[in-house]
Amino acid sequence: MTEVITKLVVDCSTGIATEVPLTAEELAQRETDRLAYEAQEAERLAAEEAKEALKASANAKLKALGLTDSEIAAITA
Amino acid sequence: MKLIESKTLVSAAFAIEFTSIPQTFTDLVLVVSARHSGNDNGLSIQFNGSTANITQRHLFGTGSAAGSFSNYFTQVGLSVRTVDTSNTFSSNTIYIPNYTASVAKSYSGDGVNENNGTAAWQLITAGLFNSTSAITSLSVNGQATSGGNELQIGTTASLYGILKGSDGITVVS
Repeated sequence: MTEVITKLVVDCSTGIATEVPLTAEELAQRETDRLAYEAQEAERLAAEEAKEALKASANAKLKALGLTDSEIAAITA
Repeated sequence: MKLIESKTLVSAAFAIEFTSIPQTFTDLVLVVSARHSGNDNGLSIQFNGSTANITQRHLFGTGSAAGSFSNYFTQVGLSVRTVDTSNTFSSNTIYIPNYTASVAKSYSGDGVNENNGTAAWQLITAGLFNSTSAITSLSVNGQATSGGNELQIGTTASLYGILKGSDGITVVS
């Protein structure tokens, strides 16, 4: 059985609230938003991972130069 | 400030929409306490049945970080996600001045969500509805994600109207 997605419509002129199914257009927009959100999230996570990898790489190079963790923290904070 | 309508969901719904908004006030205030089934904590707004002609800037804090972003799915506030603390709801206030004006309408929003954990968000939004049409309807919904986005039972939206000079003290010229 397909789930029916609804919205609550409140008519301010009468005070009557009615639960109505989303139109085909609203459902399509909802799906478009969902896909856009997923794409944007994937992009954000990839950027975060890349940044973390750069940070780890930079830390490793600083350590190879002989800096301690405290010294690295002092210049990167 | 006069309450126009307030509704609390008794069953889950994608959105709460106010239609036939009286055109007799000066400003509108929308107060929303929300929880929804999505993976994202965004609460979005639509004017006159559409997300068109909306641009926004946001400032946020997460509990461990702070930043800014733009035009994110007409987000104007925050909701509490399914993964956050049970039986908690967000608090949002959206202020819409001069909603009947035949010029572009600016608005602002502030919101916080609840979570017994490190990540609990705060959000401030500055928005522009670039339309010359008066606002006659508006709706709020949770951000669409793979986890769904239905507003949950107990979510409440209240719409208030503010009329200039209605305190009996202020002189309007």
